Amino acid sequence: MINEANPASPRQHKDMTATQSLVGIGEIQAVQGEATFICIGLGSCIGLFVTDRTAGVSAMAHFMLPKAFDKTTSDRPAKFADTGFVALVEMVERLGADRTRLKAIFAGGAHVLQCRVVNTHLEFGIRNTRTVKEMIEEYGIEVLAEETGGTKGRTFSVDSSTGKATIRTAGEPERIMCRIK
Amino acid sequence: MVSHTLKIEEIVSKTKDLPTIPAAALAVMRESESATCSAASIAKQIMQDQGLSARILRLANSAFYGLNRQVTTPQDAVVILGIRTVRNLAMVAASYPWMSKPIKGYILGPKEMWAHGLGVAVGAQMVAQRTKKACPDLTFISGLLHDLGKVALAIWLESRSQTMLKLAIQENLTFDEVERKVLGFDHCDVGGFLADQWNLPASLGAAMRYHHNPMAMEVPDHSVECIHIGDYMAMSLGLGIGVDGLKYELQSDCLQSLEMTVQEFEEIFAGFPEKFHEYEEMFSLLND
Repeated sequence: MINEANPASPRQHKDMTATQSLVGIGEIQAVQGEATFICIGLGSCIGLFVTDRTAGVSAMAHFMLPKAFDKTTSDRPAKFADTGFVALVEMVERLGADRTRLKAIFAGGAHVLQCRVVNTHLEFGIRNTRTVKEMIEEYGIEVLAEETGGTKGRTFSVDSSTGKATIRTAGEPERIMCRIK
Repeated sequence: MVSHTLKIEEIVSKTKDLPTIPAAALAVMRESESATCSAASIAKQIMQDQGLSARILRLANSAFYGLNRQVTTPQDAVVILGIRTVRNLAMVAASYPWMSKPIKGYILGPKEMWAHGLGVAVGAQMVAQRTKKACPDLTFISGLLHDLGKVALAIWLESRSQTMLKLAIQENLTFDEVERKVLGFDHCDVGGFLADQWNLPASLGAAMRYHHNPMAMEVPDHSVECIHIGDYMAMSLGLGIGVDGLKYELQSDCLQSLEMTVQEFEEIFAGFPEKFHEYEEMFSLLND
């Protein structure tokens, strides 16, 4: 497993098994083989999962902001959806994935209910979602499922062995977003 | 549903397990604002409470401060770290026990209220530091405790949270609007009431009462504006958001009041996760 935020040390939640990976803010986790990827408590952030089932390679990223301020000096590219998307694709390609076979699932991008003085630049959830969709379109990646917007915090997980992608929100039972075939 | 005839006073008086801020921590806070305050007078207040003293020393000796000598007494801590830092450590150490508990009424698990309060504190402090419009230390403490009213109100929401959520969705209301519609008041009113009743410093009371509506204040309070922005940062990162989710209003005119551009705010926000993590790691020493 490769971890973009700290490549020498894959980050795993202490309560989880070896195949479960907590993807923190500004991180990308990629694996050849099976793993369960989890983004906990997504607010306006986006959790993006990609997989190439043929190569058996999967990855998840946790983007916080839409665009890097300075693409050349960003210390953590995955914090931003534009630079993070590029890093995510490069990482799965290094593990043997083919970008033309990649399929994506993503969730998050929530926003506050009201903005007293309308300033769309402050709506990070909406801007994050827009940037991720633009990048997906630019790379021609098929989207299997998405759940974005609204005002709920979400926990998003994908089990690459079963192909099951789920969403959990406060006070509601876990829901299946899709099953990857 | 609770009748609107019920008053905040009744709710508070009938609520068991109200959060408590230990007398020693409040005494430290008040002493730090007195004209005769000294390292010895602050230490004297801390030493009234042995548990609090031990927790402050644990934090003072953490890697966060990177001291090359051991802090062994509260007076040492004040001399080395300064009055304002020790006052903040006292308030954090005093609040951690009740803020770490689950808050069922808002569907918050263990430590989720703590994560949210700490997130708001850190975010608000960063905004205060950048804009130089409010005292960063006091803003940190007010940010940490801004949702005290939720803790008191939560028990009354336990059986109603799903109904309230439904109402918020059906009528497109913010969650504080739903609280007012169902109860006649919201968690900000309850926090403000408690602050008055406990004679908390005015800065804390203002944060509890106005953090969702800083523009309603007759005299602008930049610290409360910083807390409003810090709250937005914590919600955006999903820190301790429960059934109310992000169902609140962002008063982006706070940015103008703080003379901060959207670009500057975005830069502060980008550095927020690392700063939050630093504090989270230090305060993990409070786990017994």
